[in-house]
Amino acid sequence: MVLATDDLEITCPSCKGTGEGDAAPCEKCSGKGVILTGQGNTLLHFIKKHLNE
Amino acid sequence: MNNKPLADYIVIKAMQDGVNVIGLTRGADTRFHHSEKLDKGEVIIAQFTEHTSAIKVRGEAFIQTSHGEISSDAKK
Ligand SMILES: [Zn+2]
Repeated sequence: MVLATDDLEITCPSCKGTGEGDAAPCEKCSGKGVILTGQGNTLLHFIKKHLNE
Repeated sequence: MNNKPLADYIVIKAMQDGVNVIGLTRGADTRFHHSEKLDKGEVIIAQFTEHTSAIKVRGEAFIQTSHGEISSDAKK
């Protein structure tokens, strides 16, 4: 695959992907469980921009 | 002429596949706001900016900073 999931987001090392912290949600990833990469953000912003054209 | 020193850069070279470089936010709460995945041999040159005050490296990598060089070890 040209783009793997790992290229778009990585698992939050603080909550190990659960999105839950000591007093939920995980404050390191804002409860998402993942952190987007530059490529992930580029793709997300592109799709958001053109989705309703 | 702008004599302000450039903000510090660090150079990170991945020594294994799947090294993660994670940017932490500047300010009261330190969140992970950005990540990059590096495969073996890939290099990233990253700068501390108004948004990023700390950089975390996970996995085996070679790191150069203005303070010197250091290696990070493989994930357990
Ligand atoms: Zn998290």
